[in-house]
Amino acid sequence: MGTMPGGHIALLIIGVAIGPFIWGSVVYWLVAKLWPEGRHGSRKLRARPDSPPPLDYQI
Amino acid sequence: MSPELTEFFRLAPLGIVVGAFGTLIGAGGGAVMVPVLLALLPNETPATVTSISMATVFFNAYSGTIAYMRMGRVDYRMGTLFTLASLPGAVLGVFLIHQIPRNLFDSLFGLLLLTVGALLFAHPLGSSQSSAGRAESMSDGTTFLGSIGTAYIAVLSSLMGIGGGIIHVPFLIRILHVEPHKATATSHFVLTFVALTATVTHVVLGAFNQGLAQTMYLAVGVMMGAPVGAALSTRLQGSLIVRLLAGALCLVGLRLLARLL
Repeated sequence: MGTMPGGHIALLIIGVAIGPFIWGSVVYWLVAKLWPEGRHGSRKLRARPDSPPPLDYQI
Repeated sequence: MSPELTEFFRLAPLGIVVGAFGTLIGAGGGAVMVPVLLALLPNETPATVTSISMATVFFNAYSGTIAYMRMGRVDYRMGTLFTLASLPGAVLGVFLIHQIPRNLFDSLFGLLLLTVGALLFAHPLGSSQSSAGRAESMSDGTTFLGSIGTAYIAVLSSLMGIGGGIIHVPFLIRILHVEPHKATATSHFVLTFVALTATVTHVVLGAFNQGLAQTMYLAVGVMMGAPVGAALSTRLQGSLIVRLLAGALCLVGLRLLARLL
């Protein structure tokens, strides 16, 4: 617990602050290129006829 | 009775409750699990507590995801995008939790519970009010926002040990306007990989060594409780359940914060 040097903790905090933004953008771009909308079921989502109706309250 | 058996009879019933409730509300159950673990294990580090929670959430999310996949409700494109966006955040969150002392974790968790509880109490989600006018697929801007938002949620989920369904599902429904039944299923899909990644990271960093036995006891209960939750879900009134959960989250959040004063 808490054994990291201060500089490393600062780097970790900066990583947490901007890392997800950069990574989320890169992944979005990659998926948009490699798996365009409408292919392989992304827009063809359909529940099986025998599946129960969706719950009306799930969080 | 041996200490192991005592521990089993203490934790397995908790697993049943968490499994049933997690399935009932469509989240992984971590938001219920962590406060109870904090009370049961007052001397453990946040890393140990969250490692037990994330491993248990994985079992719950995995079984839920299989069920949702069979029902054909998982949007695989969205799920793959959000899973890839989440994985580094899940690792970062675990690294961060190893630097946080217990008092700070308790207060942060109390604040998180209060916020989520208040939001859920004020606006319980319901398909009847939120399905209307939803597009079949998300726009590019919305997908981009979802990718980035999910990456941040993964850090928070992994850091707090809650898996993230309780934050991710409202994010998908309210911000991205995803249909509720698709949001719950796809969030479960993402949650499975986030919980698995966080658990593996905990194992690598050594935090999980102390929680392995407890996790197994809880996992047994979770797997027994999940079908109970699924059965109850057809009989109970939805908004009441969510309001009860919201009230409980607020109370536990207040209790955690009050303990630090």
